[in-house]
Amino acid sequence: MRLNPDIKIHKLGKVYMIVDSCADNSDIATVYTMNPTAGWLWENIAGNEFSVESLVSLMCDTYDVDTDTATADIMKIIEKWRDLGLINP
Amino acid sequence: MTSSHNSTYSYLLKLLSESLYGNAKSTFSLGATLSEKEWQQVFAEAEKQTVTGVLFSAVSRLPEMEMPPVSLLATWLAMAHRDNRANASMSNILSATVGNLESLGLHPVLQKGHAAARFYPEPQLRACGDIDLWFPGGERAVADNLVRKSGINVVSTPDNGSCYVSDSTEVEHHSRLIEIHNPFHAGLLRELNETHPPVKVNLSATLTVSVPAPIVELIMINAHILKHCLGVGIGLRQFCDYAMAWRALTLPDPATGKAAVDPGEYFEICRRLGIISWTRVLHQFINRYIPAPDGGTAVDIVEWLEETDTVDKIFMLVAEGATSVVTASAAHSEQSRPNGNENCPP
Repeated sequence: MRLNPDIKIHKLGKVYMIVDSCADNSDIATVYTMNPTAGWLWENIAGNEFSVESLVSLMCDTYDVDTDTATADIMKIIEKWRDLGLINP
Repeated sequence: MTSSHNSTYSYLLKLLSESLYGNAKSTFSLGATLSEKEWQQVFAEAEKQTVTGVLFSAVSRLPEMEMPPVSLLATWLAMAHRDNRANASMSNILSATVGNLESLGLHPVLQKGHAAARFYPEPQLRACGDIDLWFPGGERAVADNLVRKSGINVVSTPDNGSCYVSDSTEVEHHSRLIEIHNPFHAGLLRELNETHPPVKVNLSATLTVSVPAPIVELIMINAHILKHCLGVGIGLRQFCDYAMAWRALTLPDPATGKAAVDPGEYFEICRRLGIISWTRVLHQFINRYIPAPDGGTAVDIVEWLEETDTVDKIFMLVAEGATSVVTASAAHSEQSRPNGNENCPP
C-alpha cells in the first residue's frame, strides 16, 4: 500500500491536516484533520510502501503499546484512510 | 475606519510582512491571541485584499496558542491550496499559450501578476488572475487573428487591447507595456523599450517566458498601481507585487554582488515620466504598512522621509475598497477575476 502521493500533510500547531482536491473542480477541496497519532503515522510513511504489519511495528517501537492494541488502532486508521480514498493499493 | 477595522488590519499587516519577508522555516509570533471573531475579520479582509494564500505562510507558522480556530484554519488551508492549484493550472495554460504564439513567430512578453509572482518567497500562494501578454510592434493584431482562427472569440478592450478566454482563463493582449498614456512621454517609453529589451526568465523548471527588462518591469508595476488608484480601486496584493519586485531587483544578487536595477536610474526615469511624486507616495506606503524588517524597501532620499497624509488616504482606499470581492465557504470558493475585465467574453 502507499499513501496517495498527491496529498500533502500540513502540521499546524498540534493539528495535522491534509487537503484532498476534487479532480474535476479546482474550487472544491476537502480538508481532513487528523489526531496526532494518525498525523505522525502519515508523516513517517509518506512516499513509502507500507503494510499493516510495518505500521504496527513502527508504532510499537515508538510508543509503549502492546501489539494487539497497536494492530486494532492501525486497522481502524487504515480503514478510514481507505474509505476516504487516501490510500493507493 | 473604525478602531475594530484598524486592529484587524494591524494583525493582517503583521502577518503579511512576515509572509513576504520572514523565514518560511521558522515560527513567528503575532504577539497576541485573537478571538474567533477577530480571526474571522482578519480572514475576511485577507480575502477582500486577495492575499489569503500569501498570509497562510505566516499563519501556518504561528505558535499553537496563537493559531486561528481549527475550522478557520482548515478553510484557510483550503484557500491556500486553491491558489496553489490555480497557479499550477495557469502555468500550464501560459506555457501552451506562449509556446503556441512563439512557434508562430510572435514575441509575447508576460506582464503584471503572473510575472510578479516570481518575486514572492512562495509564488504559488499569490492569488492569480488573468494572463497579460504584451506584443511589440504590430504583433498584437496578428496574435488576435491567430487566436480567432483557432475558434476563440476575441474582443477589443477600451485600452486598445484585446481579451479572450482560453481553458477557463482570461488572457489579455496589450499594445502598451507601461500604462502611461501621456503622448509627451511616448518617446521616452519607446527609448526605454529599445535600450532595455525584454529578457527570458525561468518561472519554473519547465516554463521559460519573456518578461520586461528589470527596470521596465518595475516601472510597469508602479504605473499599474497608479492606474488602479486613479480608477477602479487598489488592493494590498498590488502593493505587495511592487514591494517584492523592488526588493528582488534592487538588492544585490548574492551570486554576483550586483543589483538588477539601479535605484538612482529608476527614480530618474520616474521623474522624466512624471510619476516621481507618486513613486514617493508608493514607497512611503510600503515603508509604513508592509515594511521589510531589514529596510530592504526603504529609500535613502532624505526629502522622502517626510511623510504626507496622502499615504493614509491611499490606505483608506485599500482598506475600504480593494479590487476583488471573494465569497468563500469552507469547501467551495467562487472567485471573481482579480483584474476583472468586464469586456472579456464569458
